Amino acid sequence: MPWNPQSQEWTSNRAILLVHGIGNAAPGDYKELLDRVKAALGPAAHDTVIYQLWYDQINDWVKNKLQVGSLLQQAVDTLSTSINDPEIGETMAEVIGDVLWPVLVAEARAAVRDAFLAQVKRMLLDAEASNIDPLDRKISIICHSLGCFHTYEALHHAAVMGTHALRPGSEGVVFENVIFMASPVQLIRTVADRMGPLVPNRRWLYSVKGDALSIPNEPLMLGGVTNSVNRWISITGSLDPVGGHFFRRRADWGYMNVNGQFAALVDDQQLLGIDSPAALLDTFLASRRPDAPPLYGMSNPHSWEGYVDRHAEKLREWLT
Amino acid sequence: MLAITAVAFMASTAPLGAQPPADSSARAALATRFARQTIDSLVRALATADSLLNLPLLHAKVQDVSSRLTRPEIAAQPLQALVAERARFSDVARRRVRALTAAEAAAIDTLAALAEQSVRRPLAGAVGATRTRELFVPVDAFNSARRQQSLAESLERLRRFERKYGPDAPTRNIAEVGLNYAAQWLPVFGPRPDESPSRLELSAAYVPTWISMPRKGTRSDAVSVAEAGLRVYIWRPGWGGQEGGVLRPGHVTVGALVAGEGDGALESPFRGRSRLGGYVAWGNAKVGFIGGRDSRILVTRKVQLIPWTF
Repeated sequence: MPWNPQSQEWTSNRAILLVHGIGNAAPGDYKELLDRVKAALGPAAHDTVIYQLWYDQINDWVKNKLQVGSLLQQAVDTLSTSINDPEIGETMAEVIGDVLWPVLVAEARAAVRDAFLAQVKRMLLDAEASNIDPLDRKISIICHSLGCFHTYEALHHAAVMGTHALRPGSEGVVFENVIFMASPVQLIRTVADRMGPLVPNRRWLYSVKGDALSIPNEPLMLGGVTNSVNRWISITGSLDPVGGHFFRRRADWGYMNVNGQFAALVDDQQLLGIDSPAALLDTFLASRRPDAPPLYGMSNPHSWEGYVDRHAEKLREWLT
Repeated sequence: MLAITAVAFMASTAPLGAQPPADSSARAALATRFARQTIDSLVRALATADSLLNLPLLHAKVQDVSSRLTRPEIAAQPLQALVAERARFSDVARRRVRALTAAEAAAIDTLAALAEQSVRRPLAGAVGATRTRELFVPVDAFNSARRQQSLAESLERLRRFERKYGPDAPTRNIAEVGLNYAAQWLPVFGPRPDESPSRLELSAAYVPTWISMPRKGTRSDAVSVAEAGLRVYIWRPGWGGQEGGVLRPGHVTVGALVAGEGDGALESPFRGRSRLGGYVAWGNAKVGFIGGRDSRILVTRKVQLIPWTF
């Protein structure tokens, strides 16, 4: 079935795009997350349009055609070496290694990026049809896990490719908030760097470009630059390896820390009751399902719903 | 002065965050209004904004860019039609509009970009949001058309991606996964400059299911071959999948094949004196030949008997 973006009427000047991570999500899924985001927004939820980017169809096509697992092993081995922990390193690399697949298949990466940008274009056209002044328009993105990687890539691509008509300066497309939850972008950057020439089409792989991760921007004709994002926010947890923490130990090689970001929060996840690296590993192993993507319950440090719940107050402040 | 007439939705003075949603008639009015915007509208809008802002650096840039758009015969060109005409060329680098020189087309892009980069926000501060929206109708019309065109192009690229990777696409065996992973480094096999997937794919397989056509003195028999070919995807709408059926497939393949000394199912293609030939696949239907003294015509249908193998 052809992929199509979501289209909705705007009831105010605010919209949010939710970008999920690895999952078997289809329209109608992530209902619990949606409810929690609405609860966090409070009364503003009634006039905030919430879009969800469903891109698992593309993941599934690639998985079925390419047997991604066989390609992924090299990346997982590199990740395991990077974690450098004899107790959990190897297994943890296998458990969270799925986030590395887009690095290996250039066309699949481009397809998810295109789906992301198509959704943003649709949102802007919806805003226009709903009579929203471009200067008042406030679009925010909340992404989780692998969704953070796709968001990072898409925003950087949009900032430099005029053909998408989404540049922050030349087309005035500036996002009010982009909130990265458990972002693996730095982790992917490190693994991709260490894999060196095994990573195809680096020209359009923004996570590995430059001296460090950055906020996308566009130089202006009359001088200066415009950033694509007003508030770049990163949230992760002290027990979340995808976000660069290996049992309360922050690994700089895996933790996303972007120069100029508005906020970088690390949740103390002690209350989750995970008291040893082995218990942490068990929690992640328990989330695995045969022939299906992992299911992260609220007690898992990587749970998206958990991040939203813990930051409900802040989300309300930023998003409304 | 701009020949802009106010429409109801533009006159909205509702506070921030409380604009009434546009009904279908307001949307139609907006579309009509956007369709009327011309190169002249854009140039005049920027000239007016420039005069209202009075910023020397901006003034010089607007003057410079506008001076490239002075031919009288282009003034009435509708902006949306220019976007549509440009989009007809699939190769971004070769996109041209007949009525415009390359410098004129670039000047329109620059003027619209300059308006967004350095005019809209300061103008709203100087003359208010309502006046700014009115002045910016040509810019919004141009960018809206570009965005719609760009969305259509994104969806077309995703349709192509589905043709190559989707449920109706040919499956790959483990050798093809490796070959095509390596081939991504060759520009013709990676994403195209317009971000489409490459229409090319390498094919390599052991196929034990070819059937030789009977001829005088011989009967039909199974033939096992090793194939190596190049698959080309057909992007044309109406081709591929169930819609295209057998007659209009989504891909064709040409390649070489090697068969062993003797016919037979599950034979090694490299046993004894190998025989060489070629094949063509029209979708999943394949026709081949083996050359040499004992030449044969072969037929088969692409099917993967064991996932990831052959």
